[in-house]
This record gives sequence, C-alpha cells and structure tokens, in this order.
Amino acid sequence: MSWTDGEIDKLFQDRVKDLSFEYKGEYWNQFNASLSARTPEMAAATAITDAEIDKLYQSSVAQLSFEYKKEYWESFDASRVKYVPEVAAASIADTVIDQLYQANSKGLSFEYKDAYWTEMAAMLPQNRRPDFLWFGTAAVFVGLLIATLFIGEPVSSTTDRLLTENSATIDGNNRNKSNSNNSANEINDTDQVLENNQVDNLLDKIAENTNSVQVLENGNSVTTNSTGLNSEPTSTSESTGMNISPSNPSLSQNLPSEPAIVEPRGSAIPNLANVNNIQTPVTPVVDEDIFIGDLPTVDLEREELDEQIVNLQDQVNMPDFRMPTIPRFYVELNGGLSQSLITPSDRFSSSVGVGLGFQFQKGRFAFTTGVNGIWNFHDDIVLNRQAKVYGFGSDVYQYTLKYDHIYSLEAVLAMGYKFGIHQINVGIRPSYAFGSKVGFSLMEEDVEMEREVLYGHMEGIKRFGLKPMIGYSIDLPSNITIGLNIGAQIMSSVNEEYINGQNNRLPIDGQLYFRKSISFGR
Amino acid sequence: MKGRKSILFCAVGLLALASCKKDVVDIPESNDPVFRTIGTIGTEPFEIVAGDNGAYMFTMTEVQNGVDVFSGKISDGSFSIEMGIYDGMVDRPSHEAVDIITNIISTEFSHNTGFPLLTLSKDELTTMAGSQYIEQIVWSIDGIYQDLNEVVITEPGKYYVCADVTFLDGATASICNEVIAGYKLDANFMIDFSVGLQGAVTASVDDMGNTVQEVRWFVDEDLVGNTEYIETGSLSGYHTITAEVEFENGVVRRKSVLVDGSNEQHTVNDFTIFEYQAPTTVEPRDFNIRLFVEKDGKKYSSETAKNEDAYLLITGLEYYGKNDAGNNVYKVSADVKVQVREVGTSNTTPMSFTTVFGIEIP
Repeated sequence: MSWTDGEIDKLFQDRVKDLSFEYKGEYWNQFNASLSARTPEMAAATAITDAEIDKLYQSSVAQLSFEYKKEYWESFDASRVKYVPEVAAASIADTVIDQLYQANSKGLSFEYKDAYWTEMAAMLPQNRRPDFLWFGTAAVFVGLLIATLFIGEPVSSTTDRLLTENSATIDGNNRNKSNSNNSANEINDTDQVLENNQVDNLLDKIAENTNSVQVLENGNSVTTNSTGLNSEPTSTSESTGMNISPSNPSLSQNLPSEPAIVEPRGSAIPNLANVNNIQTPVTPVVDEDIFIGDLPTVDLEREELDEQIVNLQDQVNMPDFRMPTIPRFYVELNGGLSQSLITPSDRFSSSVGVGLGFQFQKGRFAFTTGVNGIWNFHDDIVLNRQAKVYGFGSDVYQYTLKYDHIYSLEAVLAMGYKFGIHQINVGIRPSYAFGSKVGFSLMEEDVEMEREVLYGHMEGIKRFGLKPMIGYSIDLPSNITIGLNIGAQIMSSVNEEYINGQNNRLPIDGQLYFRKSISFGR
Repeated sequence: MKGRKSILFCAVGLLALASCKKDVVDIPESNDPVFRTIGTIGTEPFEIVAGDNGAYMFTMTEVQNGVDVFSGKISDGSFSIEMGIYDGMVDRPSHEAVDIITNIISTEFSHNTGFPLLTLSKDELTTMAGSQYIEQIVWSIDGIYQDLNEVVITEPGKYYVCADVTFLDGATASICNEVIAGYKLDANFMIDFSVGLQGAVTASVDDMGNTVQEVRWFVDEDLVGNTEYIETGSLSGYHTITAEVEFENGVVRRKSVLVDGSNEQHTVNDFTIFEYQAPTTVEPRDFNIRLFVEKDGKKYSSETAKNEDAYLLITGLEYYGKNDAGNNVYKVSADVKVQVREVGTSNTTPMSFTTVFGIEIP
C-alpha cells in the first residue's frame, strides 16, 4: 500500500491539529544560535556556488516526475489569494506606496561603469547628417547678422529727434543763461537762433518725453523732481554751465546721443566721464556741480566709450542706450596651423594671410565681417598617377602633381560677446580657393620628360569651403586686437579623384590674428 | 572716403589676383585602346590591341604596281594583320581618295586571278601604221626587263612601260608610255601623227569620243604648244612627241610617240592600243581591299583566295590624327568576313573579325 501525498497530508493535519506548543523567546534564540554555530565542515558544505546549486538541483529534478491530477491544481488554485482591485486599493493608499517607494529608493545606488555608457552609446542611432548642425548654425548666424543690420539703430528715430531737440534746448538754454539780456541766443556750433519761448517749448518737449524733467524758473533751469539735472542761471558768466548731479543717472536718458558723445572732444567727454564715475547714489549737492568748460579733454577711443557706457548701463540698470552702430574697419594679419586636408597623413598645413573688414558693436555683442587672402602651405596634397595612353601603340606616363600652395579668399562672419577687453567669438569662415602653386613632373618610361611649376591648376582642389569657428580675442592699446580662432573645415577640400588619399573629415585648424582698427572720417 | 577707396582698391586687387592667368597643365589621362582587332582565323580566336603586349598600329601608304594602297598593319610581332585600300580613279591625278573612301560603305576584296589584264604585243603594235617597220621590241616595265615582243600583265596597276625597238633596218630606238591595267579608265586618247618629207611632224589628238579640255604638246619634253594639233619644223633624228591631255571629267593622260624626221620609217605609236584592247570583263580594282595576315610564321593573303562571298562592311570612318610620317591617319571601323590563302599553298582559311583599324590616307 502506498500513501498519496494528500493522504499523508491529511494524516499529518489530523495528528497535529490538537497539538499546541507554548512559544518562548528562548526557543527562538536557541534555534537562531544553532543556525550561526556552524562548524567549518558545515560552512564548507554550504560554500557552494549558485551555479553548483543550480547544477545539483537540475540533476536531481531531472529524474523526478509527478503525476498530475486535476484536483491538485484546483486545490492550489483555491488556496491562492484572489486579487480584488477594490480590496487592494483599500488595503494600501497611493501615498503610502509613494512613501514606501521613496524611502526605499533613497537607499539605492548604482555603480557607474564605462561599459554601460559604451553599450548605451552603441544603441543610440547614428547621426547620419552631422553636417546639418554646422550648416544650421551657420545659417542662423548669418540670419542674425543680417537682421542686426536692420535693428542696429539704438533708439527710434522719433526719440532721436526729440533727443536732438532736447540737446539743442539744453545747450541753448545754457547759452541763454550766459546771455540773459538777449532775446535770441546762438545755439552750439550752428548758427541757429532760438527765441526764449522756443526754448521753453523745446524744454516742454523734454519734460513730456522724460516725465522726469521739469522746466523751472522761466525755462532757464532744468532739474528733476528729486535729484537730477539742475541747470542754474548764470547770467554773468560767459561760460556755459550745465550742472549735472552725479546722483541722477537717469539723466543719461535725455542726454544727447550723437552731438554729445560721438565727438570725443570738447565738453561732452568729461560729461560722460563724470557720469561714468557715479558709483553710489549721493545727495544732490549743487556745490559739486561740474563746470564743463573747464574739464580736461579725455582721450578715449570709441570702443572705450562703448565699454564705459555699457558698464554704466549695467550698474544703474538703465534701459538700452548705446551709441550708433558705426562700423570700425580693421586690417588683419593672420597665421594658422591646420590638420592635413587629407587622410591618412601625419602632416600639418600652415597658412598666412592678410585681410580687412569691419566690426560693429551693439551692446556687448560685436559683429565682425571681413575677407582675408589666405596663403596655405601644404606638403602632402600630392597626386601620383600612372596613365596608359593608347594610340598607335601606348605610352605609360607617370606624373606627379604636388600642391605646394593654395591661395584662397576667406570671409569672416563672426559674432562676439565682449566683457571688458576680452571677447569670445563664434562664427563661420566660408572660403573660396582661387589659385594654387603646383609642382608638376612627368616621367615617360622612367625618363623624366617634364618638370615645371604651375599656377592655377585647381583640378584636385575643391574651391569652396566652410569653417565654423570659435575664438577669443583681447583688445590691446593702440586699437590692436589679438585673437585666436579654432575652426573645423566641414566641407571636403580635395577632389579625391585627383589626390592620393581621402578627405580628412573635419580637419581642425587654429588661426592667430592681429587686427588694427582704423577710424575713418570724423 | 579715403578709407573706402582703400578698401575698393584692395577688393579690386584681390579680384585681379583671383582672375589671373592660370597655367594649363596637360596631364595625360588613361584612355581606352584605339586600334584593335578581335575575331577568329579558322577556328582560332584572336585579339590584338595596339598598345598591349607590344602590339602597334603601323600606318603607311604602299605602292602596288604604281597605284597607292592606303594601308595599316597591326602587329605584335608574332601575329599581324595588314589591311589596305587600293586607290582608284588612277587616271585622275587630282582626285581626293579620302573623299571617296569616306563615302564607301562596302567594298570588295581584290583578287589576283592570274588572268591577262593587258598584253604588250609587238604584233599588235605593228598593226598600226606608225609602227609597221618594227622588227623587235624588248619590253620593260617600271625599269625592269620583262620579255621580248610580248608581255602579259596579270596584275592591275599603272605601269611605266618602255619599248626598246629594233626597226627592220636594224636601227634601234626607245619609247616609253604609261599603261593602266585592271583599273577603270574614264577617258583615253591616242596621238595621230605623220612625218613630212622635210622632216616636219604633224600631230593631233584622237580623243576617242571624250571631251578634251586642254592639250599640251611637248617635243622631247619641251612644251611647244597647247593647241589641238601641232606641226613641228624639220626634225632630224629621233624625237619624242608627247601630248598631255586633260579631259573635262578630270582625267589626265600623257602619251608619247617616237618620230625620226630623217626617216619616216623610224616611228612608233603610243601604247593606247594595248589599253583599248584589254578585256572589259575584269572588275576594276579601284578602292578594293586587300588583306595580309601573318601568324606563327605563316603568311596569308586575301588576293589569292576566292572571295566571292567576302565582305568588308565599314561601320565608321573618322579622322584620327597624324602618324610619325606626318600623314593623315583615319580610323576605320569595320566588320570583315574573308577567305585568306596561305602563301605558297592552296590552303584557304576563313577569317572574320571586327576591327578598328588605322589607315593612312595622305
């Protein structure tokens, strides 16, 4: 007679259902101690790897077989806890789950391994059009550059006109103060004569325009509500005397832009210098008025003026106010080193060049455009070919073309951000190769037939190039700028059909340049 | 303003630099073979390419029996094919062979049948009144002695035939004339002449029905007139009267007679009678093709084989350039099927090939 599992189970349950044991803590401790008090033999016996356990288990169960009976499964199924969503939802709230997750996840940490990243990188899709980013960047930049030409005016024309009028008014008013007995006054360098009531009207415009300037004392003095401008009547003085309180930087809004600043001479420069020196608000003191006519002339370059204005704006949180974006022309000398245009090659190419262009600044941003004539030196752009030319017979020619020099025109389109005398630039340098110096030799049946230097042979060179670049420059005294550009040629440079090797992909070049800014005209 | 001018100046300078004269380098480029022949001879295929394996395309103008053969020969040393086109219109010295050849689409292979094309015969000549006192003639062609009294010409050509004549009285004299055999004659004439009692010679042109454009008379190679006939003064001794006749159709022939003003029996007619009596059934050789093959030391010729079914179909003909001799070379593309006969044997071998061949046509 053989017992089935169910019968054994039933027998066991019948026997033990009446049994009861008193639980005592020492029982558990004793049991627990027995677990830890393992002998070395036991430890050795348990020092078995998971793989060995798996192997043992698999070999043991390989011979096992169980008779399947439907009631077993029904019994098992009945014993399972049925999932009821409502019950589950009621049993544990989301917030509790969330807290549990957060509490447990804090303890989690993962060791970083390079292999993980490599594996993930391999799973990423390959960028099939890496040049798109460059071209897109270049296009956006060019667009911005062009757009800048249209937004280059610092203030609206209306405001300009009013400011100009204000300037004339203030200047005229000052002059009026020194000629109080006269009904008409000479204004500035122009021969325009304004009546008192006209001056008043202009002053009214200033007041309307700024909302902070009022006309006081028969139009002979301009001041602000709080601190501001206080232009006192000086009826006996022959000099003009526009009093500017240093604690009122908002006055700068009403300062004449073109007449007062563009000319780095006369009374306007000290005005700006004084304004720039305003560091902390001070109670307006009339005694500290600056007598413009007696101030020394400060020799500031335009860019320094720009810089000071920008600094002032930053310090006093002024609205945008700049000088007009008048370009500064420059001439440039440059030299560079580049990775070879072809691969495989361990050579470098060098270049020298001269150029000219102009740069204009808008706030802290500087835009540069120009053109350079570049003389590139190469020693690895070589074509060795053998040609079998059939005719009545055939001739085998071996010829070599070595592109020693490549002459190109390179445009510069860059946008920079200035901070002090330093500037960071990004831009593009499209180029056009227009000439070359090529050493040519021709051998026929191992006999040199011809050797000459050719100019202008461009068959192996692609004429157009495009280099995105980043750069840094520093302004030195005497309008000299030294800069360094790092660029990468994104267009293939050589015609592989005519050159030994293949195009080097994204050859990097560095270019060092010296620029001398030139001021023309005024 | 000054600055702008400087910039403009620099820009113009750069543009000038960019547009300066460029050196042009003549870089040789590989090309496909120009001349090649591929086909079979017998059952054996062959391919010969000028420029490969030492093969070369020779081009030349050969002269066969006084007639130009515009030829080319492609050879690698052990295998060669020579193909030539006979000139035609040999009685028209001013014809442009290239104009005719370039318009030929298909032509025939020449065939040396061995049949008489023209017979130089003393008997035939003495049937004419002016030559009736000839006892014997020693014939020579192109300076080469041929035979006594009668010579049969079996190959087409334009020959310079001389007759060393012995008269019945034992006197001797020589007379030479141009004789054309196996080629088409578009016009012809003979000289009628008579010797007067005082040794004066009267000569005229028998145009044989062709329209004469111009006649030039020579006595001993001295031009004496250009009228239809001449009357000379008293001539003593042997003299040669020559007429050069230019016909309206462009044919130019030159013929001579021998006269002796002191003895009217010492005269010899020109040789027109031989041309006139030549068989007309023979196909003229004008612009026919000939082919020579040399392979493994054996020589083959198309002219000695029967080639009734042979053809040469010209699929293209264009000017190629000048050869080393400075003569014009034309590139002839053709499909050829021909029989060639091994020289010295009766073995005939079929041959077919496609070729781009070089032929010199000056």
